[in-house]
Amino acid sequence: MFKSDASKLWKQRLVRVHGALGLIVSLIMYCALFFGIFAIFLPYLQVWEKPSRHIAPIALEKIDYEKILSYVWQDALFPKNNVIITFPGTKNESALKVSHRFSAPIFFDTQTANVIQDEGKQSFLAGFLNQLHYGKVLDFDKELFGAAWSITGRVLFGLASVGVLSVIVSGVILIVIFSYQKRAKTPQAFFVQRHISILKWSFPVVFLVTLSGAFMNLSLISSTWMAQLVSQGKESRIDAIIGPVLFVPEKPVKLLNENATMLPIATLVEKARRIVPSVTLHQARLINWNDQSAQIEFKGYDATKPFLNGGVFNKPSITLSAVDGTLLAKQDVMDRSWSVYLIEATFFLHFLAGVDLLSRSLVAFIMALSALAVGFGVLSWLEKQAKKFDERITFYHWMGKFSLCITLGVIPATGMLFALQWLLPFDLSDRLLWQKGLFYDAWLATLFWAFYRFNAYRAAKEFLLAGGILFIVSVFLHWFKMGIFLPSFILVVDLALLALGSVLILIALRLPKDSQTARLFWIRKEEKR
Amino acid sequence: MFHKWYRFLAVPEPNGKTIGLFRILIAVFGGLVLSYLSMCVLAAFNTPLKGDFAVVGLLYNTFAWAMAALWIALSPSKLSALLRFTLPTSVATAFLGWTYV
Repeated sequence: MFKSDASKLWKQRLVRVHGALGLIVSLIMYCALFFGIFAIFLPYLQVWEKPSRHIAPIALEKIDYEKILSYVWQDALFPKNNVIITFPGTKNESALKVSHRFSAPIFFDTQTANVIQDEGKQSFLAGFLNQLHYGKVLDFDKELFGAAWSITGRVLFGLASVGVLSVIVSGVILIVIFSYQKRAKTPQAFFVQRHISILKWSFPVVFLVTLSGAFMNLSLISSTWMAQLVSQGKESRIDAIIGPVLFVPEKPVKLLNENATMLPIATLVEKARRIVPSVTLHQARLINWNDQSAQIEFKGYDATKPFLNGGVFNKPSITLSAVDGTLLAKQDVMDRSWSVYLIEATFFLHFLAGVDLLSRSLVAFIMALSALAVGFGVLSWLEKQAKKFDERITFYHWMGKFSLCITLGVIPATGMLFALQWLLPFDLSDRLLWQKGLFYDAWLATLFWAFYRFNAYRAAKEFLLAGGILFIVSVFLHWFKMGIFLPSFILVVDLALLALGSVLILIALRLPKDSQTARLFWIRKEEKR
Repeated sequence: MFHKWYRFLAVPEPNGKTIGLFRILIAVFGGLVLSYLSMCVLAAFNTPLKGDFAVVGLLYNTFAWAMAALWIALSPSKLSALLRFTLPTSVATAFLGWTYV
């Protein structure tokens, strides 16, 4: 066999692997990207979706912690040691959360220091969108049906993300070894060109996010065997091996059994801030409270060192004595083992913990472009299939209809989810089940509609139009129910949804009507450039 | 018999426009076994850095799977695909077996 032959075969296979595997994983990847964009804005949506969270923000020093704690101490069922206070502003939550490992959390209004009646699972819009993002779908119950579907969905998304990693690597090699034409003459070439020109820039971000996603959906599930192989059969939990590296061990503080008066938490917050000014405080843990040995441990995020802290594993902390406010211990961002930074860096773009709205919007924008590029990739394959019929008959392919339902049908279904959030009364029993059920029904209906409409362009226009209208309707329903509420980025969410709805309607009006005008639509634009 | 099998494996396919079931199976499942065991080898040494290497192994085993599968699928012939799976896997297995006892 000649050398050039081998290289030709290798290139052919590379193209085939990229195309075939890409097509298989594309729609799952699109779903993960689409719902992932909503998950990026989860902190803002979770405040927007709950009437009880329409609270104006307040400086941490001005909160009446003593009133809040006296409520907690009076609750006979709430554990008293290692109580965790999560400050408002953490993940944009507007309420103050008091929680414990072994108890349900209690939420407090920061302005009045009164207990909030939390909506709980009655309002779960942001959480549900996040579950759709990582494949925890159709978990209607905790019985066999729901459990089986939710684990299947997550493993499926995990396998797809491994496929995506292969597709990314093969795609990068393809870009390096082939040169692609700048000017596209056919729609297929146009789609390929757009697919490349977007992903050429965004693939590193997509890669990191996919890798961390694969870790959560596959590696953790399959870690038992690794734990056994690595520890010569001594351990069956991977936590026993990586736990000491990833998590700082907590040593119990000895109780002195002498009552003492505690410094006000507001004072301690102020002290902590003075010692570590660059750290945004997220939570405080109260150890041995009301005892002479009492301590308070603050944890937070240091925004000056992104990619190195903020996620699950590295949170800078500082421990003060609650009796006199002396500094007892301090853990900086850079005090940890190297593998902690590796995992933090890999996860940073996925979790975006503590990251502000502007940076989140930037990541969301990159992800939206990448989702569009994935769509272009599928479209280029469909155009190739359509060419076989040479326009003698209308192209009607199940993959085309299915892709139409997944990529564009999801938009009106999600719009439905948002509209239902303010349409359904909050005291409706099984509210979440209704909301989820109607969402899935709407999505399924778009599949029927995609098959029913002969002209895919017309169906696409209708989906976008319906989606845009539903998003706008959801904002007006919100205003009707809650009034216009400025703080905590709630109005920003309203305006963003209005903008999204308007853009969708605009695209619906601009898109071509049928394949004949579509050809002109894509190509003419190319010639203008 | 052996000759027939050898010819089936060693003669390269005429073109690479399709991958073929044999390669797909070896790439997906062989790649999984190969990558998982190699990542275990990373963390099998009993050094002070064991925990750190276990983090690397756990974090990157999906990526290793993706790379191994791609590497196996792109081999010049079926025989080399098989060898790309079996040889490194044997080495990793032997090593893990050696540390295990």
